[in-house]
Amino acid sequence: MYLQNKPRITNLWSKVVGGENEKWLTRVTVESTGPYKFTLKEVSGGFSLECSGVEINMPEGRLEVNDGLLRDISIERAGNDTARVELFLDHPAECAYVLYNDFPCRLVLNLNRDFIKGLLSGKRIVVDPGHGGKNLGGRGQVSLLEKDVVIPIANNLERNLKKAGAEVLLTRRTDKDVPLDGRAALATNANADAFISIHTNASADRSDVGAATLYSPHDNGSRELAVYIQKEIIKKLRVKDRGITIQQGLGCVSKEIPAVEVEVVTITNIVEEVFLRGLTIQERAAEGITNGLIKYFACGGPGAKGDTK
Amino acid sequence: MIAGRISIRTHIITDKDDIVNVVEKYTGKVALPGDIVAIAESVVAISQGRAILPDDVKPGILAKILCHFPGKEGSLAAPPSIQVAMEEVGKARFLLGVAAAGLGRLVGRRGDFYRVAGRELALIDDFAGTMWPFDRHIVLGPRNTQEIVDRIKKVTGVEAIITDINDIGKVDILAATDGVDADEVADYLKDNPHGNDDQQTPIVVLVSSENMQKNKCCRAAWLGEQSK
Repeated sequence: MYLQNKPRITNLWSKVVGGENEKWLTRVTVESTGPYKFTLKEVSGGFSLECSGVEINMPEGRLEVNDGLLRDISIERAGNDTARVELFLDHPAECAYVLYNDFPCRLVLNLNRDFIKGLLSGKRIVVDPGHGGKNLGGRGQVSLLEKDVVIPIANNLERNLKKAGAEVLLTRRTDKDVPLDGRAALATNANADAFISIHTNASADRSDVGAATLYSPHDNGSRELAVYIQKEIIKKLRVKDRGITIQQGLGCVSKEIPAVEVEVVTITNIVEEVFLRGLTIQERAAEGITNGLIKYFACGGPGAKGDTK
Repeated sequence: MIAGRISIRTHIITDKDDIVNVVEKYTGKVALPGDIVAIAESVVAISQGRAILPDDVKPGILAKILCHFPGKEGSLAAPPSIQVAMEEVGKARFLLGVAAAGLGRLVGRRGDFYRVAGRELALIDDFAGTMWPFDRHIVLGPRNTQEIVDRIKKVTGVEAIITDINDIGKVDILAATDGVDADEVADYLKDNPHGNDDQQTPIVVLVSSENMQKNKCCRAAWLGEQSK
């Protein structure tokens, strides 16, 4: 029966691997029941993989990735016994492949993320987990506190940014309150390239949900940074888009430094409180913020108008 | 003997799907008699319409109180999911479970809550426990699991199991057709081949050594074809 069948592609997935001291890669894996013939071509905006003598045993269409380099992957039939896998990239990258002919057979495409490293290396980012100590911030209906949940998100963000070659400073690592001017001074003294404050939204209306990004009143790229981060965080979390808005309080950060406050989701909503407890959302929120920063620096950083509305 | 396994990506399963048709569609040309198809319990439940939105649940005062108890086991964290759990097994049995858990704790024993209140409650996934677009739902455990695996075997000729696997390597086989060695299978699923929520692979085919041999022959043939 196997002999009558062509090999079949059963799964397609991607993951970011390595970083810091190892090669930092987006790894796309195509799994199949057996080997087949393929050619890999560079095309405008990405790569195209033509596979022949193989059937598709999974849904055709696009898979969203949004990892800062790889936007999405598509797989579709391109004639008899032929499948086309396309990788759509946000930035240029080199692509190398390895075929593992075991079971399942795996064709692994490694995209290097050096371009992102080029954008962020040498950048100094201040990450500010909101509240702390007696300043609890928002409180969930069950028990979660804003001051606690912003810490793991900040730690994830620090890890991501360091992998991209940036220098990261945190305003607090422990459960203590730091005065606003102290947080702002850290950014000023470090001559930071961006100030990212992490919060959650809190609302008296318990049905309120979603994420928002607030920006400094200074005309220094803060608004553009907020637009990018908001767009990317919504893609990652798939929660309600509460938009961007000015936050006068961020005016205390030096005029030279773009500053935003990300309200990851709404802690006072019971569903989103449970989300916030999960490691997945804590990682995804950090990925969304990282991707926003990458887009911002790719468009030229402060003063860049890019495609922001 | 199981000699290999392959994870299969599917479309997003909803209550419009019949899980037996889904298995047939995605494994028809991958699995052979002698193999075992493993299906994640949450998608079976979703196909049965057992995903509930919190707006459809009105948590009572008891659910609101119980959510503040420390050490609420498993995924029952929020009042709506506790309410749903109480409705599944009845308030009295649920409270007996809570009491047993309290006593159990005194003597340092864990797991008494589910032993008394019902194993099916351990299958409830709270918000964020299931992949998008069901991450805002409470997903209950599946029903009629034995009937489903038997139907799969009847339709496809392949053995079938329904699994509950968590990220710390705990494997529960909720139902299995008669040709399955549950112990061997559980051992083979510990690292959760269904993947986390980024990988949509609710079906995994466990390939028997006999069929793996056949696959190896084909592999040579496929490669031969390519070198021509």
